[in-house]
Amino acid sequence: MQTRPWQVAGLAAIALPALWLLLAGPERALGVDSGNAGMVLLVTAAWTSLLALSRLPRGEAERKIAPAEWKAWIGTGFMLVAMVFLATRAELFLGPSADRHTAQGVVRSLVMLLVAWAVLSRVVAARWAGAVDEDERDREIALRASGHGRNALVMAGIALAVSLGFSPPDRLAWATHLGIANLLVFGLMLGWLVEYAATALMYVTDRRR
Amino acid sequence: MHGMDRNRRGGWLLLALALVAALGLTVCALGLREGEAHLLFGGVVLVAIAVAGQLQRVAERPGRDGGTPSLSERASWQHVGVGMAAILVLGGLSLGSMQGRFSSWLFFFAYVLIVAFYPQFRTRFIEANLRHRDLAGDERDHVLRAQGDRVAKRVLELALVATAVAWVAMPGLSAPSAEPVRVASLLLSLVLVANVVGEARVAWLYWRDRQ
Repeated sequence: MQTRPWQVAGLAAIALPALWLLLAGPERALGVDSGNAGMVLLVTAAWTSLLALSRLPRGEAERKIAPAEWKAWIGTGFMLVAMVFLATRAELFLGPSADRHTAQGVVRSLVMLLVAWAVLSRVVAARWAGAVDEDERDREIALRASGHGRNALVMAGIALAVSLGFSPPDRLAWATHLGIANLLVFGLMLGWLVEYAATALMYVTDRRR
Repeated sequence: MHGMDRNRRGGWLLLALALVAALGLTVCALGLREGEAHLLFGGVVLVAIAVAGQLQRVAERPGRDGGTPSLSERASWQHVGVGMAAILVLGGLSLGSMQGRFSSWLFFFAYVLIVAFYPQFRTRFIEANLRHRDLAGDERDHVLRAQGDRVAKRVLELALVATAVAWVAMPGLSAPSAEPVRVASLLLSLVLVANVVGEARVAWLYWRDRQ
């Protein structure tokens, strides 16, 4: 079964408005919270692509791509969207005038995105259940990528600590507990993003060798 | 002769650890009496350092087949000790010791370097103690280290999430901008706690492997 152009176009028709609503859209669209609407559309797009993937026969191309690489690409995409989403809403969290109510709505959308990602990664894992899906190369790549992710997380923590410790007090108006808590979550997502991206890139490099 | 020397050294070390534990208990009692959280924390960490020192003494005894600890295993124990000493200072700073004094910034600056170069200390320790034809690490070292690193990563993630949730759930806390070094020290302490847990896991795996 081949992927047809109209299927790709249909997927793009769902994914692009989702990204627009999440990253650049108005606060409310057609009376609905645009963050939640974007999240629902994005998850729908991810599910649709996964459904299409599951209907493909286990051909040569699929055998060449390890399950861990699929998971890494999905993780990279989701983390990237989540991080950009959080970054574009940064002014809601940082500073003494942070609006707690609006910020909670953003956090809700973010949690939905992370839960959706967790469910999707489980589904991908279930698709390859029963097959031998990990060898020495996979373990080596996972180990190195995990190291990169941990380093990124530690560096994010140190960077935040240094910014707080060495900035003059009059430049720390942004440093509320709500703001720092969200920066910690941002650092966590950065660690995961680096881990997934490193995994995916290592697989690509390994295939080209 | 060597055996007697070792016994004598072990006796002195045990005495030193007992003194550290006694000091820790005294500081704990003072902290409770004065109602000072940083004193209580400092006392608990001192007792924990003494306990870790005793565990290290026991763990570094030769295994059943006479195998002595490798350099990597000793490096893990050394890192547990260094990490706990750093947690003692940074944790105290985050709980309000040296409040507002210039020394808190100096300590903070010194410990930023320790946290940032923590893995390099390990490599340096191993390289400095290598003898002729020794290898810096073999397959077993890599496997055990990977397990420790994984645990450290999970602990750091959980600690950061728990801190973030606590800060969001308790909006009544004083603004971090009033005491930025305290918040910064807390963040560095979390990184160090994760490192110490990871190193302790590695040390325990080495010990189990030798038994």
